[in-house]
Amino acid sequence: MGTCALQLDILHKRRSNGPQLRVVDTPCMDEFLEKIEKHKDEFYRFIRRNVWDRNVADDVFSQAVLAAYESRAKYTPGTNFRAWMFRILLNKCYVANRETGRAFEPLEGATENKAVAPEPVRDYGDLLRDPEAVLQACGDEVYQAMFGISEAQRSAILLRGIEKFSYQEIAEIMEIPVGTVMTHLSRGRRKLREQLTEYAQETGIVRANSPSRTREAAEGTDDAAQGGAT
Amino acid sequence: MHEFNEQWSAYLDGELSDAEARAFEQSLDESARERLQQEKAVEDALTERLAAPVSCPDEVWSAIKAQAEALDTANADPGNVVAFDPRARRPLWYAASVAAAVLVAFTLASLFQTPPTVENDAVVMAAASIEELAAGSEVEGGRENVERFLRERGIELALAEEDTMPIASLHHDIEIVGAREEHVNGKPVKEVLFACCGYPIKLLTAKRGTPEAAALIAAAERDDNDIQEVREVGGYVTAAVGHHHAPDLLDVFGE
Repeated sequence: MGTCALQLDILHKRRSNGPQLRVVDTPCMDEFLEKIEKHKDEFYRFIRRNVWDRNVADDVFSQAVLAAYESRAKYTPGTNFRAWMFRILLNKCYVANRETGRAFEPLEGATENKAVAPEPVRDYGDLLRDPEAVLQACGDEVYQAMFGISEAQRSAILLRGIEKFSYQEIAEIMEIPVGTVMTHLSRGRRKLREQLTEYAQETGIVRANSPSRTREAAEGTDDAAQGGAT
Repeated sequence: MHEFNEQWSAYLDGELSDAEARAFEQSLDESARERLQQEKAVEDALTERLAAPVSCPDEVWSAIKAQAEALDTANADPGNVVAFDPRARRPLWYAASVAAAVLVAFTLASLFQTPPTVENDAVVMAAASIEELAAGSEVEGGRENVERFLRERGIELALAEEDTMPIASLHHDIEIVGAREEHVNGKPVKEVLFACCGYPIKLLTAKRGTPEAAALIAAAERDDNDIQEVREVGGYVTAAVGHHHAPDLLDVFGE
């Protein structure tokens, strides 16, 4: 790894006081890429869980890393590098989802200034009774269900549940108030539970109020496969 | 039925203060405590599924490193960058002769050139609150009122409904609170005044090719601005100004 040279960028701007000198201490390529490489799998996972079109996830990840690399001078050493990176990842996901027409989703619930009819609360008791078995049986639907909630809710859940950022850090990454983070998390989580329970009921993984049937489904028995009501 | 609300969610995340957590626990009856344990089990199981490792493919990472290297090569411009070696020592006579040459050059420049008269004021978000911003509006808030205001002043741009903008998926309480005419470097520009997430934002617009558009572009080149982004939309130069980061509010402008 080579040493990084201190670079003098001579900026010529149209000003009455002539050319300006600006000293730029830019992290060199190797050091910066090493920093990213330490976390690349978690960054990549975030993209995969957040981008609607999985076929473009690799491109989005590349764009995010290169965008971070090009703006590395803006990162202040010693500050929260992961949070800085996740803000870039989040913005790239947002752009990618917008291009595939998925960034726009209906506003969720009431805001401070607007009165919106409260969302009906749906029961997800089947999930509560045996979450591990139900989720196991749901398989990849767990990941699909994440795209049934808004992008803001999904991002908040990923940043909190997987990446373990605090509410304050999430607020800074998403550039929203902490209260809004709390709203996104609680509503997103509730909606996920409802969706997964609905899926489990529709596909016969569970029958409402029948915990024994859940275990059969998880174990992949014929009874579970047939579904149907009793 | 107990509802999984913000307090439950924050409690499970350990984000309530000690006092809040104690008060929350004391508020729970037996069935609520049982429900809370179930919710925790659901959250743990969901998190475990979502946190399943996903490895970045080796070929993707290799391609990124190659592109970064190419970027480095493309950006390097030996004519414009001087590598500074702090270990180099130069004789005193060298420094003195350089200083003398610079002094002569500036003296001659001041004798034969009048300083440029380009004004270049910074564009800042002076209003500290939405109320303060709205108080300066020349028109009632709302999309139709502001569209009419702009049209009457020669700005033929349509405004999107606040709720339908893509930025609405990440930000909240987006509202057009008014509009006014202001000046940048002495040139009149039109401002659309916004509230976003409880913060004031203003969007400036001027027809491309006009002195006011040039003034806006020149202002954007300054470092001490609150200008977040400048875009061209349908023949107009537009800029987002404010401390709350929301440059995509510029999506409101349509042709």
